[in-house]
Amino acid sequence: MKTNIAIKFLLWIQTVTLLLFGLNYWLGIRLDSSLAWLSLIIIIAVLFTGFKKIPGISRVNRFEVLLIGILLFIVVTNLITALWYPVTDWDAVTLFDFRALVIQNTGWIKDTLSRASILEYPLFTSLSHWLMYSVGFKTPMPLYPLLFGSFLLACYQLLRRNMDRTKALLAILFLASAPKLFDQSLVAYSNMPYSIYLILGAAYLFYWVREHNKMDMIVGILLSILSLWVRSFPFFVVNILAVLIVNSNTRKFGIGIALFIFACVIAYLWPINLPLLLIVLDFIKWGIVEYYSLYSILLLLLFWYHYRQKNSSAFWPILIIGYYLVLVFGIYYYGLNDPKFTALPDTLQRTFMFINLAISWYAIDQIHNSN
Amino acid sequence: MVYILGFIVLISSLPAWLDEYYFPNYFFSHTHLKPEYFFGICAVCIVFLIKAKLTKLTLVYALLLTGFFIPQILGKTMARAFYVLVNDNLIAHKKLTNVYGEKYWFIQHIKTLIPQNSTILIPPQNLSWRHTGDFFLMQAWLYPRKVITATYVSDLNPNLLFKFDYILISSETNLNLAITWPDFKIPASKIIIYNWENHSSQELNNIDYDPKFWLDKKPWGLLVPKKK
Repeated sequence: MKTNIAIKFLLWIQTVTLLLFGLNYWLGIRLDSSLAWLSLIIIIAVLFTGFKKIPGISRVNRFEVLLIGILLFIVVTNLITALWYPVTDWDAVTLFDFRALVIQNTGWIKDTLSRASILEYPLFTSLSHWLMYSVGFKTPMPLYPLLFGSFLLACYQLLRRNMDRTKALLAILFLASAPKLFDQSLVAYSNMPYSIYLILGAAYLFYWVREHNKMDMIVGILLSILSLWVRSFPFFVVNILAVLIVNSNTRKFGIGIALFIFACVIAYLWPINLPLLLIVLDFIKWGIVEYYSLYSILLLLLFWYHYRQKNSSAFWPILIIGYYLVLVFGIYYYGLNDPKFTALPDTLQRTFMFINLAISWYAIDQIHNSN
Repeated sequence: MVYILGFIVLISSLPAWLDEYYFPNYFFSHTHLKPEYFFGICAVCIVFLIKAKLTKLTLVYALLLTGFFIPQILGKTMARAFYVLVNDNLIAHKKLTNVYGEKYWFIQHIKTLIPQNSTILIPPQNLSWRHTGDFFLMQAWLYPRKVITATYVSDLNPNLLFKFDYILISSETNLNLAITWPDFKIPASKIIIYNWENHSSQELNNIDYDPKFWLDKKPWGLLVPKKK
């Protein structure tokens, strides 16, 4: 498959960790350093075979040099400095990184199950940490700036298909500045990896709707589904439904499926506890809409502009509304079992940080279309 | 137009003004709106007033957002690079000390004293022993040693504590009050007291642990229960 190096990295690190999981959990092959080295060699070999050249490196003007310099400085500096930074945050120390230490010590994933179930907390980050420890890294922290940089590079290569270099670089700078994205690239949580897989999957699907390139559809669906290996949240379904609804050939089918899922969810949750639903909506209002108010304002501007101009793709607004609907029902369902769910707004903000990336992509699409 | 623009600029300084006049974070605590987001709203008003074309509105707004956040990202990146440049090889330890305090060094020290195949009993999980009683944190830090939390040990009978290889002695502070654990007598073959000043420890052999004796000394360390 001839695709860009960033997407190859994102897909292959997932593939390798999934393979390691299968080999160990189902086939009973012990994870040791030789397997880690083999995995690393496979990733490196795949990365440097038949990748697409990054478009438009030559003849950059001074402004573009400045933009490239800023982006490279952010990614490369954080990648290098991460070599000295330890895993510090509680959830990472006690769960994601702890599981990596257990696997490194015993060689068996089953020994981590007493800490957390795989379905609840999939093993992508833990196995990636194990991979890094096993090949000699003292800390797994460089993984996160690497994922962050891969996301930006993959977005750049997508945008360059129909955008000039200056605009694409500005758009990447805009994406990089989405709240929490950068901050989360400095901690060993799974929120940033989850967000980049989900949103990059959506972006590839968006380009498939626009250009009908089959490879975009495959990569988009793969990235969306692989987000499940980072966190087991159902948001990837929205990516698939948004494509089905926006694509003229599958619109009726997509709307039908969406309504069917909506009806099933309502039926499952029936009777709706209205006071709880109001608490959930209020929680989302102050926990997300107000907390990310700069981006909420941007979203309102985009909706208004979309309504007035009617020439933008409906993909991003449908996706954003879908994400919000899944969030409402997800928190409502969680709230049925845990009445103290409003006590952790920061968890909600981290989990749902990808909404800012979706809004950013929506803005980039509209701004580009308006010119 | 100029007056209106001036008024909006004045309004956009309102959060800083209120925070300075009343107390820090006054604006956020009353509105749940971060001052920088309030700045964003004011920026939009300015964009409207200067009659930017509708098609350019989102572009101007996106540029404002980028202009607001990118300097923060650059600042953090430079600070990290500077931190790595000016510090020695102990950066990882220093960072962990920043997050968890000097207790991190205490844990590092006791790790050198406890064999990897041993079992250690730690204080109950509550706010009095925020870190040393945090089962998940201690489990991760002391791994592969087996950590047992006193929260779930139904019988802390001193005569049954011999089944643990080690018992952690902790005097973490709840507010300003140091709460020493264990708070009951234990027949001990060895008590190891941690010295905070030089990160070393002193061994006391064949002295039973009596909380009354240790209470005002705020001890940190380990005790080895007397085997039956």
